[in-house]
Amino acid sequence: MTLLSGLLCGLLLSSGLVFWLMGTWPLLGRSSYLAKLHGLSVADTLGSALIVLGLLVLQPAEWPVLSLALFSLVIWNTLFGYVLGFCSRSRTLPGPVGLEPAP
Amino acid sequence: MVIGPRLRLRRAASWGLTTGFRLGLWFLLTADGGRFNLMVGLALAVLLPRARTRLASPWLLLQSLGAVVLSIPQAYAEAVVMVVRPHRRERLTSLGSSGSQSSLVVFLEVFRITLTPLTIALGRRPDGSYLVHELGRERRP
Repeated sequence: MTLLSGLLCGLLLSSGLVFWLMGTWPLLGRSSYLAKLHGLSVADTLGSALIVLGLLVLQPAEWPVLSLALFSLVIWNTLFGYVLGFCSRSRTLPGPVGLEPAP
Repeated sequence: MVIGPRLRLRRAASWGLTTGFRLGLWFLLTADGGRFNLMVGLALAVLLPRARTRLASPWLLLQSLGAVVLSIPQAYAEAVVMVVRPHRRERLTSLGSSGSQSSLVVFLEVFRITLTPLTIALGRRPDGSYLVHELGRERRP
């Protein structure tokens, strides 16, 4: 591992950790359900993606499994955010909103 | 039934995209580029059942995919802004869509909206636009 890749890996892992901490902190507060979901998107999706990218720099030989993990993390976290937001509409939104489920 | 060239192109694009996606996943899962593995993966990708959905034009699919790729740096920029400055103002807005009924295009559009941390898609309105929950900065009086 060269100095440059070590630095890059450290930078990616630490920024991922910062995103995780900053994104999960608002979960403890009193903000609304949907506002917390926005924070989760920072932590869960973008922070985790940075951490996996850091691991990819650390262990380039494991790229198939790590890129699969990166792909699944980003897709599932984002889609869970949408599903949680979609399911919470009746409780979190004021009044009826004309909606139909996305196909 | 006569199939026009446009429909044929759409079918071919959808078939190629699904098969390529399955084959890619197979190679990532097995991490083996040997000939036998390629044959098994190709057979699985072709033989597994396919969903019957409305077909989108390849151009629209490419456009939606490009928009998703472009939204990744935007998502990180928004995340940094959210970390540095708290966004507490919440509002519901509508975001326009391509109006396509193809489930893949709708998936890509919902994905693009929800990936960026300041906006979450909550569903689709009957007119085709998306209901979006957006975080913003509080305005100072």
